[in-house]
Amino acid sequence: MNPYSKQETEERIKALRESLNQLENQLANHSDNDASQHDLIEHLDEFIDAVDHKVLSLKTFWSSLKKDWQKSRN
Amino acid sequence: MSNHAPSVAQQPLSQEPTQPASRQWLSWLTVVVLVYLLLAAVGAIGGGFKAAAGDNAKELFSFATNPFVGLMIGLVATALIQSSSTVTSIIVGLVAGGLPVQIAIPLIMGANIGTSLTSTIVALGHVRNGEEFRRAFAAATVHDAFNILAVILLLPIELLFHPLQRSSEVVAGLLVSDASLDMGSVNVMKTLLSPAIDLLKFCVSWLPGSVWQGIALILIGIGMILFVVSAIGRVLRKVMVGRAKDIMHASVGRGPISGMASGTVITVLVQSSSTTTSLIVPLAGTGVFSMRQVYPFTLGSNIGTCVTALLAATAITGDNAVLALQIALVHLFFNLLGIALIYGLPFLRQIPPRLAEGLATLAQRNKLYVAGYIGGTFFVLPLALIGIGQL
Repeated sequence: MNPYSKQETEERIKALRESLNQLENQLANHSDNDASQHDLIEHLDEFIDAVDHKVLSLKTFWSSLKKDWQKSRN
Repeated sequence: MSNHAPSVAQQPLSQEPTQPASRQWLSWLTVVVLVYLLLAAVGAIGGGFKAAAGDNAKELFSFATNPFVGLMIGLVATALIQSSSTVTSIIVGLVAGGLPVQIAIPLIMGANIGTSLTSTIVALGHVRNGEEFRRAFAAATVHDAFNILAVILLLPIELLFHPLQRSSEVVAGLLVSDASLDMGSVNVMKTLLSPAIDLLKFCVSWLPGSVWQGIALILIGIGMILFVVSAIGRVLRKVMVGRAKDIMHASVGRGPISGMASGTVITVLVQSSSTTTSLIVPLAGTGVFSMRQVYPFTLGSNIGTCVTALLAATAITGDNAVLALQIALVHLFFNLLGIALIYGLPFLRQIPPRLAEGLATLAQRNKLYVAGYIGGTFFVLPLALIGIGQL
């Protein structure tokens, strides 16, 4: 014997469908994110020498710090 | 480049393609020669320290008998040299030459903190793009926060109960006695390294007295290690970039243990935790890799970097071989225990990412926080503590 009325069953189907859609969207987002990560990893050779660019990073930061300092004094 | 291209920091980075297979044998030959030089350099430091200090090694390092001073010396030295592999290899050589293990343990812990400065500096290259900088800086400083927290938790435990010293002593004893049994009376490493170490000794033999000769050997050894670690990193990055890609592809979407394992393996392959942690900074800056993914990957690099000290320990033969291996194992056990404790306990696990996110938010707001953090954590505070320790 079905414990739910026809209307209750329809509401439950609707709720389940919404949950399923939400989960499918989440899965699609995960898949998109994974694809973006794979895409980025393919360009790893552009990042692997990042450790050799410390001086450049420090110079970039120093000029930005000076700009902020001057702005705060004016 | 993908549509996730970061703004400033990556513009000048290498665009060179992976080496063709036909030329890789030359790179591998270079790696073998460099590893040989590394081992010879560690042997030279051990021999040099023994010659220079004689039985007074402990007295020579009396300034570092205060463990907090030792910790700060390891931290500042590594922050200045920008390579924990170099500092830990030198420590292995010094221990082989008579530096007591209990003095060397805080030095190793300090080196672990000092090495995290490299990726923090790399993150500074993203400073012109606010949100990208915040993400990159958080990804870099999560390593700092974790390593500092590990020392805060484990140094007092070590001082009270000596778990790292005792466990490493037992394991090193087992490994060295097993290796001796396996190889019988023939010492392969000694035979292999003798020509290089003898040549170095010959080069300094014109100096008057064993003390000066020993000091010269130590300096030559340090110079060689600095050169070798830098050169080997450069060669391995070129040779291993394809393998690193495969490992990272395999770990995408697989959770923290896989991330940790990939961080470990890539660090072993490129022989540099700085390379691994710096590599992940621009990736995190794009926003494609989240803090949840970056965090375990960074912890993996802490384990992978221990291989260099273990490799360096194989250069030491004779009575002190067990001590050299012991200090290398201390480095490994410290990092393993740190991860088991901090990452294993949920209430501790969240502390480093939260600190890093908070610091990155402040850094994005005002660059002076960044200057204060780097200067204070890696230089001013440690040097002040070293000074206070000498009073």
